Amino acid sequence: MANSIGMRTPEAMEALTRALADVLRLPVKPEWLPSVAQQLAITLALADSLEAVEVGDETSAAPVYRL
Amino acid sequence: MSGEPTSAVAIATAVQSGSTTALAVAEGALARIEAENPRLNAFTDVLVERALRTARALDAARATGEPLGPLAGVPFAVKNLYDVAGLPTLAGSIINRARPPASHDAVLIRRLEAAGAVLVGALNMGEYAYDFTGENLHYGPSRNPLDTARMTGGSSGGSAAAVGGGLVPLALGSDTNGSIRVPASLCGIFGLKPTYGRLPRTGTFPFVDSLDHLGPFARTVEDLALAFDVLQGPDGGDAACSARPPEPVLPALERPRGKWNVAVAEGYFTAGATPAALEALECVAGALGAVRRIEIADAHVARAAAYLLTTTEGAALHLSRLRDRADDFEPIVRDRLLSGAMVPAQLVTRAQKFRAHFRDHMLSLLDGLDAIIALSTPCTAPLIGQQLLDLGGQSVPLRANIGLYAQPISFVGLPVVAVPVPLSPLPIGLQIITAPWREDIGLMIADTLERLGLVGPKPMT
Repeated sequence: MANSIGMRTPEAMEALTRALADVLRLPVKPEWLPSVAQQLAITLALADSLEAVEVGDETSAAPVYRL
Repeated sequence: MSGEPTSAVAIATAVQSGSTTALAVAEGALARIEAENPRLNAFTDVLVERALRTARALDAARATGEPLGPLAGVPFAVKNLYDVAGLPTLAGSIINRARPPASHDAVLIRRLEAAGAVLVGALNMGEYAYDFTGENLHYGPSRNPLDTARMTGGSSGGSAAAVGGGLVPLALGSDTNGSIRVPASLCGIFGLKPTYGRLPRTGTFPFVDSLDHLGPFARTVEDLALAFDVLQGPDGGDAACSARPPEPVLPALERPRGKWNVAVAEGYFTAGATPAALEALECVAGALGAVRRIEIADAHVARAAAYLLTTTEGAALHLSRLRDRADDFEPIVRDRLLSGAMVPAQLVTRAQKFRAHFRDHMLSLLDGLDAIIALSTPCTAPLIGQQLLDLGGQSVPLRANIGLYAQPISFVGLPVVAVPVPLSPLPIGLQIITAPWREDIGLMIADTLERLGLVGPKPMT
């Protein structure tokens, strides 16, 4: 799973996940690490598609969404 | 149950006229639940005493000449993320068992009961609603009434099983990314995901506040419309709930109607669908004279943004539980939420900005159209325990992908009436997507299709 900046290899994702779990005080047990890292990789891969869409600097975010 | 009225409208009419009693109807529902729930695993709590007490009160009121409400004597049940006075609000978890029992019913329960309906129980669901399958490791999977080896879909799996199996004519569920539309599709019943902000969520356990919708399931369009009419109205307990007054849709079902201007969503919304699903879509499109085909640009990005908001908002909601009781979550739910707590904030903001962009795009597509129709799911009900889904020849994780046609629509809060096409051997659902606040159009189109005999549940045997 690669992007234009770096490689999201399982090893890299597990290292990132382990580091984030430590600094964010999230209880990721060693046996959970591969799955949590995989989920994070999936989310980041999906987020890549957001960068391909130009929404404009002036577009307001909608943290509470209303029609 | 031959001879007994089965639809909500028929039950209410019979109770109002005195041709049956609310007590007899409640006892019938409780007997069906006792007989069928071991097979379907739809209910996590059955409220025998409460249901009988409510039914007796209705019969007593009628005996004194008091007018009864439009849902007089209609049994209903709710997904167990709704507060029910006296029960802990489980939301499909074991962690929430430790919560004190709810002191009040959810607002939508109160509204249904004020209209004469009778609450008979709380329903199974995927843990914390983070689910498309109806499976639950703590309480067991809800089972599809059409084939108990198969999934109900989720996360409102018990709601769909209870209505699909004929245990109750009405049930309430919730839909964050498709949790009404997916189970309605797999169990072959009607569902309504109203406009975001239409129905108050006061007294329900949340999942993703900016995406959570509540709504009903039913076996007929008329029942769905009747329930929707009773459920509507503002409520100060939910900051996202609109101040719009109720806009009844039931009278609209009687209005004469002309030709609908409907477009069919293709591209993203048909990619990977089975031939049978595509045939169902074409059949309904043909009946509606829907010749216009559209591709909704960036639907895949909308799905990605919905996924991202779900995992991050969900993680924020559950952070203290993740820290204190991580072992008590289902592993897949825990791992998704833990990963959501690690997502950079700039991506969340980006997703919210894209949401405004995609909303404007969808509104422009709907301008001049009555509705867009799209498949609810790419396939009929998979087997319980199935991990992978064949999506156009590609094997993909089922849990993450069976709701892929539903997610872009709830992402921008548009109302959807989910209608079942009774394929053989298993049904599949379609989404009738309309402009904001135009649930009436979706229900009228569904009613048109129902009258043509093209949509509806399979007859109960």
